[in-house]
Amino acid sequence: MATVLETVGLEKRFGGITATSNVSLKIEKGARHALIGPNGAGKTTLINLVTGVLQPTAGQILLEGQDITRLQSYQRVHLGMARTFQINQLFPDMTPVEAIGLAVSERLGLGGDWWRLAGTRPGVVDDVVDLIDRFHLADVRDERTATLPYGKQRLLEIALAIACRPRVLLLDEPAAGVPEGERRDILAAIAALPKDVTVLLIEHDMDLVFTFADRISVLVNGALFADGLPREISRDPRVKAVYLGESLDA
Amino acid sequence: MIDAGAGTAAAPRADVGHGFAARGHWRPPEIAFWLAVLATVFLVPSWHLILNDVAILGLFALSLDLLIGYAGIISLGHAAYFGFGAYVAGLLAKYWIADPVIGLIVAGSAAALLGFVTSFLVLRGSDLTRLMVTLGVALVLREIANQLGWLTGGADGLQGINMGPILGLFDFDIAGLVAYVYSLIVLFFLFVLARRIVRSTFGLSLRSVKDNPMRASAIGIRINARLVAIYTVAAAYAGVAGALLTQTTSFASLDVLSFDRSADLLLVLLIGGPGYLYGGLIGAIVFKLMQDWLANLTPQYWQFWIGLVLVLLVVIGRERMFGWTLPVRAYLERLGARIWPDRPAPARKQ
Amino acid sequence: MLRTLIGSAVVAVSAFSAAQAVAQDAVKIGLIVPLTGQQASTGKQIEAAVRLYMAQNGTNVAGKKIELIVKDDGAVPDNTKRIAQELIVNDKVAFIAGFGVTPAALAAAPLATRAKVPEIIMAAGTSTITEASPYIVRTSFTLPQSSVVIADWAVKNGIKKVVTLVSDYAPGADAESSFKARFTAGGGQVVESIRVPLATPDFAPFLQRARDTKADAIFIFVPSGQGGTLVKQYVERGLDNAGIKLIGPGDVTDDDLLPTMGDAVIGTITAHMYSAAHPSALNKAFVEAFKKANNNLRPNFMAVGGYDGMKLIYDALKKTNGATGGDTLVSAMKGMSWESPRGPVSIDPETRDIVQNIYIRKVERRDGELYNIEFETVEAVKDPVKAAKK
Repeated sequence: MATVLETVGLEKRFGGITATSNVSLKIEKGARHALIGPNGAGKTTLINLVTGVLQPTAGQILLEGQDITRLQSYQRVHLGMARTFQINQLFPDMTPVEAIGLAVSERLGLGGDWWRLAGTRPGVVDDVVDLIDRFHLADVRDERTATLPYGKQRLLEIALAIACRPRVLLLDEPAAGVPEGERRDILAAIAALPKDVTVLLIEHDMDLVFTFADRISVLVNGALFADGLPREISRDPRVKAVYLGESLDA
Repeated sequence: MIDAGAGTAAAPRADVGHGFAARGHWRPPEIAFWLAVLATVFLVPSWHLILNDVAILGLFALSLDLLIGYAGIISLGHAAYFGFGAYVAGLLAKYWIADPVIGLIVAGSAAALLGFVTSFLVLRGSDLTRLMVTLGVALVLREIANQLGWLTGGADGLQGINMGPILGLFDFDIAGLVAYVYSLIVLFFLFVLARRIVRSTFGLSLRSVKDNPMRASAIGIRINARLVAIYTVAAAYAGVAGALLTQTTSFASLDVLSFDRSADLLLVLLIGGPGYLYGGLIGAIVFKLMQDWLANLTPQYWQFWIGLVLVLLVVIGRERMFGWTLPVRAYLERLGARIWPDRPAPARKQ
Repeated sequence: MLRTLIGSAVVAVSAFSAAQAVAQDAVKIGLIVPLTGQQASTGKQIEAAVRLYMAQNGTNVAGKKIELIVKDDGAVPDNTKRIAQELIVNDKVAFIAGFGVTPAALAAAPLATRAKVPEIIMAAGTSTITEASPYIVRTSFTLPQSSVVIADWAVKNGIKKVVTLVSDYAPGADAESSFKARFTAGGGQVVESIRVPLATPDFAPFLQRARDTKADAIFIFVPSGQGGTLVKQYVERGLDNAGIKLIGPGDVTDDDLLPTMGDAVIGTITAHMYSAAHPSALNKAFVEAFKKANNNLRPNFMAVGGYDGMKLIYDALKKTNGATGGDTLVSAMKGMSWESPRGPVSIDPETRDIVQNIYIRKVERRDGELYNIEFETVEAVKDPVKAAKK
């Protein structure tokens, strides 16, 4: 199996605080890889490092063998990496049709086109309609994102990432805070992702993790604590100990 | 198995397609606006001189709208490009070619170049640093113009500019008709171009950068390149506006680079509202006409009244102050629907 | 029905033309001055003086009714140009007058030429303005007139070394160069030429530099609003104690602001064409009438430019018997001479610029107020810059 995403000794320090400590991860093509860990373990920081929002203090990031450590976020997107944010990062003043239309156009390299009316290139509308339908946004497609209910916003968040047709998709707690009805939509959308798309998923919901993931990494205090198949992890006493403390507080 | 969920019928492909196409259509209120503008050419000849000033100010404000309303870049020194274009046009006409259209093209290109070069300074840092950097650029340019008195005429201004006829046919007349029509045509042409740009994919990407730069990066947008591009365009537009001023008044002075000009411009755009392209034009009309009317009534105190209007705008809110135009616009939309029944309505719900 | 319509149309048209005909008997004067902005005091003085003249001399000249239209240009040249154009095209003025700053005067010049309308400069002082159009006539002053006279006075009074300090803009440069040329020609030495940014609030570092030159005198020119601060700092920096005399054109002790400047300015010697304390009966009456009509405001050199400008307009109309038209009026104005509150003046027929006495004055306290007291007169000074070109 080919390694599609790899971090080598990734380190991130903010002054005296080490947020990410010597993380070496290997993610195989087509994997459904979950990243779990207590709050503050550095999961989002890791995603930010991988996507280029933060620059590592040390270490490397490799995408299909290519060193992307020094590349900027937008360049990584063009190499096939997309992500969703833990807190929705959407375009409040644009409608879902406009936002998805933009993402699709950017993917098709039309972002610099200043003459032609947006969304009127053939191929853009088809993709937009497909995504709108897949993510159940048809009934709100022409309303300003800021006015959408939270669940629909979360669906849009994922739709935007999918619009980039990524080869590697990083999802940061996609179902967090979503009301029950829309939760199923989100889970179904994730489950329906194409098999050749590699997915790295941060989640707290253990049911979701164990249903979805074929490999789990556990991050504690910025370091890789455990890494293995779901059944190994679920039986690991150290992992239970880390989470035992967690669940008492929950 | 994906559950269809509540009320999620599939989006008709034709609807979405038409939705995109309809974004480009000229709405009836827009058509009415430009028809009214055209009418002023024939109906109010004694106003042509001041309306020329309005057109030029409107173009200048349009260029700032591209920055503030669409790219989210604030500038306190936009007069730098206006003034640069003004002087380039003046010097070109005085020493080389007196053809107005060529002058516009040269001045616009020169201002674009200046905009491009300074954009790298301006785009670094936050809004606050942008205010300072843009202010600084304009001040430096003004001082350079002051020091190069042998070239620019310094504080006395650049004189001896004699414009040739437009396209070899139309001489600038003393009543100001030719100047006004010329400015209007340039304004309209550049307005249509700007409209195309903001409705294009590029324009949409700018809006996304303004709305949420982090998300824009995350869908693959190279933010800096886009912003440099729009900054350059905005500078070019400002330069053309400055050139128009020089050409229609046969004069250029240090005033075109002054801080007052940049600050007043911000006021003009705020009166009309940034972000929909007409704000600058409407602001220019209101500001200039109010200034003229008030200056005739109470020359010493017109600044007080302008200030009052601005305070009211902020307190009452632009939407409520201009709320009276909503029924007018709705009426025009209905009228338009009757004249062209087959046009799709815009998709976006306001 | 149709006949009634035609009938009313005929009546309307004839009424309109009759109104036009009546209007022909009015001569309109467009006064374009800065009433707002930094130069507002200039505009205020000129407008007050113009209105005073009209109040004293009536509004009927050579059978024509004189109408004054006052417009504020804020000293912004594009405004000036547009306003002048509107006045000429829409209001059909026979004169445009005023012009508080040089760019404003220059902006209107091409219009004056094109429309053949006399442009009366009541304020702006750059030499070359009168060359910008054959229809420009000036009743104010030129900066070099004063600079050159003070240079001569300095040479005559044993001042050997001078440091110049001027604001870094065209009038400042004008004053500096005309002073320098005359002073060095007379055997003096300009040890240093300091330029101060136009918008500076603080002259201290520049004055310190001037003091270090150990010159006999310091020649200053700054825009009238800054004169008070400059003189105060001149004293604070100890230049008067160091024996460095303060000389320059009279802008720095402008009558408009002089009453409020304080004792620090006493003893300052300047050369200028007008002082409110000019000891002539005509001037006394002028100052009294002006103060009375303007809340005790003292007239300054700008006001006298406005006053004389109106006199010139009235006299020109009398000479042409009410005929308007640029060529007629300007040739009537050339060579005119009269007694002004400032002294005797005339319009040079060759340059259309004002020829006047320049007085050397010293600031003293009289009747509890500060005045520029004249103690020497240089008669009939023509603009030296243009004179040198011949």
